[in-house]
Amino acid sequence: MQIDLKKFQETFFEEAAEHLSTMESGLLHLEESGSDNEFLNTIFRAAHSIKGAAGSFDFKEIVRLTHVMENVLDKLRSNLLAPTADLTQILLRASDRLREVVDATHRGEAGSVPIDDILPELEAVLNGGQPSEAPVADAAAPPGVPRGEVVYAVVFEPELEFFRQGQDLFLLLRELGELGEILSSECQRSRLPALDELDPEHCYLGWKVRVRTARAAQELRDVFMFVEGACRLEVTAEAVTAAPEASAAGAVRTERRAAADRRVESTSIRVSTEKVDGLINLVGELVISQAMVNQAVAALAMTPELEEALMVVQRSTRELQEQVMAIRMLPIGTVFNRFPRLVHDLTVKLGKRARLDIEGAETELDKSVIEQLGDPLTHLIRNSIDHGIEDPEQRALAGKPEEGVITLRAYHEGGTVVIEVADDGKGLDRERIRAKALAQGLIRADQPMTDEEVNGLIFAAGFSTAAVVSDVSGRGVGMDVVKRNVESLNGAISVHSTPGKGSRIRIRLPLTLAILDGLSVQLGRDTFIVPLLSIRQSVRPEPSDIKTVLGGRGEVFVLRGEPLPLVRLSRLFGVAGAVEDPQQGIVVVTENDGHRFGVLVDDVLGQLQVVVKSIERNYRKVEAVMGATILGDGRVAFIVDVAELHRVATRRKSPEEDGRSADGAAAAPLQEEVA
Amino acid sequence: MAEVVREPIRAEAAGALRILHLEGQVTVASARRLLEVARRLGKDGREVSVRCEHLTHIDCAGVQVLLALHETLRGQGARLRLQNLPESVQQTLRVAGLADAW
Repeated sequence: MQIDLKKFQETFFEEAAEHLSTMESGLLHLEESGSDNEFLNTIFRAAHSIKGAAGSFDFKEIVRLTHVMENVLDKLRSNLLAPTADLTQILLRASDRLREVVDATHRGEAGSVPIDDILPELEAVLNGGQPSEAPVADAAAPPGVPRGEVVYAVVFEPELEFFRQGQDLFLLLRELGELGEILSSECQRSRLPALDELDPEHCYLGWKVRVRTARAAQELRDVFMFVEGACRLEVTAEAVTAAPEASAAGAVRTERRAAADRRVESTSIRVSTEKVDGLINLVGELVISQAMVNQAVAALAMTPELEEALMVVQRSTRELQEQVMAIRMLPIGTVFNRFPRLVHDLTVKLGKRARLDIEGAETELDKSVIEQLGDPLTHLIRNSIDHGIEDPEQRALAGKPEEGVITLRAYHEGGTVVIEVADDGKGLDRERIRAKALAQGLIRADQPMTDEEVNGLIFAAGFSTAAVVSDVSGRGVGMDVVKRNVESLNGAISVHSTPGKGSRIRIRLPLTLAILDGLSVQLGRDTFIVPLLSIRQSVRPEPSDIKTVLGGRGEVFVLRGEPLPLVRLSRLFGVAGAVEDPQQGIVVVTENDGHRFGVLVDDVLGQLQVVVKSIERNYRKVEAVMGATILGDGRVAFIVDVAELHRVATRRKSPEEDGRSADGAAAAPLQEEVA
Repeated sequence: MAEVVREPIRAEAAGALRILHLEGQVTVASARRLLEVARRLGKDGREVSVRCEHLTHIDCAGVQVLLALHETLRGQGARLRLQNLPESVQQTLRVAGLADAW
């Protein structure tokens, strides 16, 4: 069997991205953390892990850059450098560059991103920060840093499957050598089998290396950090040339911590998303099959035993589904964590002062939802800093603290997740928004609008009130894209603003895209699913509730005196044999983006949880349909996309279109699909 | 003129001597090929000279195949010798405590 290095490399790139995030968030807190060693160790370990793994793939640029970064971090850790704002900026720039180099390498373009400009910067820090050429051990060491040299015995026994780590253990040994002087290196060959029995993908060798160094035991251990789960490692102090108590105690402490780290590591495993998705798909099929069995058996004479057995199967299937879905859940902090950097950079660039408060980072959400949240949230935060937060002088004049606060908050609310981006800035200028919307022809001059409706105009395509187009925001693209992104996640977005006090954007999202709570409705002989999140109520209309408008081109449903546009779903989808007389049917009142409208269906069948299947992936996009599901009786039901339904229904203008079938635009593809 | 592509791990006979050429990087990815060649050389039981002048890197997977071959040959009264080792490879073997293992 040939080892597929590409697979290992993919793991490296995945892990490098995680380590880079850890480094970045650590660096952003560098100044306030001072000389907190545990904190610096985290950043150091991240850089070190990248270097170690990159070395085994011979990614030279990554190794070169991380090596110098590591040296700077090491000096910080040893209190030979102070964590100043300038140093933080240099390290942040270096970590940005490292990300670019890693990305380029991932694309197969290693060497395309230059590092020769950033390396001298880091080296200048190293040279400037070093008080003398004296070895580290002789420098004025802070408490806890060993002053003298210690001889450590490092016993390193890789497991048989060690090579699967993608690590070149000779490089690890060389790295160990760089930390001090190798007094002896003994290769243990007792496990090496005869040539005929040797498996070239198994590791049979082990080492006992004696190193004399001024470094702490943990630093020696850090060399093997990346492979800790795949080897036995012992680092023990043999002889101490100075400050024996401190060093020996340090060695014991670090041993304990490493053991604790190992315990934590062993509780999780890395699994590819394809495998998890495959599992989710299968469980989805199981849920459908189980519903089909239930329906088939319902026609038979049930014995109490059979009934009980079916109930147990049903319960277990539901629990299995919940458990499997939980695998895909990630804390939203994984996406929130990138924003402190954004706020830091933007405030510096714009000469403002603001901090980011994050609340509810542990709130869990489906991975696929989280992955698509990055861009919309980035845009909202940019907007808050650029348009919301005032300059420090203006804030002082308004009696506010000079430092603005942007709050990124996530929490659960009734089976959904709410994410808020709030700022304590100047709030939306509703007069200006109205004037701009009027100028752009988005509204009429005599159009009465509530404050909320005016706020909602910021989501209109191409809308921007920014006086100056900056490279931060104000190009008039963005908020409409944000809205579309949120809607594509079956979510809703709204904005609340108080002049002088700030704005709050609220995004409500389903926990997952794979399962949806829906209302099944009947149209002719077909069943459709309407997402429960969008439904406000269902009403059987009286004759007086339905009115025709626009000379017969449109219909409204009057709900307690309020006229709502009425969409006949059967006409939109071209379903034959559906109810024509509204009084024979049911109006499902739905809401999208604050706009309510009625949807006429034949009947409401009931509430159910459905497994969403993509039509787009298997066929093509069908207008006003977000996906399909398989019902208990094996039939396919389409899931209505309420936001798109609203758009499709309200864009109909011409009588010809109406005459064709009130909603001819979408009818053809769906009829074709149903057939 | 077409370029001649040579197998980076290959053995040849030179009288009673067997020459094993190692070129470029010998790693876990090429260790199976090295093992195939080593098993043939082990069966031969002749002196093996490993030519390393074009070897840029060898990892543990490669080295342990050579060690196993070395043991097999010793059992038959023959030897394996590493020749023309580049400095970087020598350094690696020193750190790994294997510089004098041959």
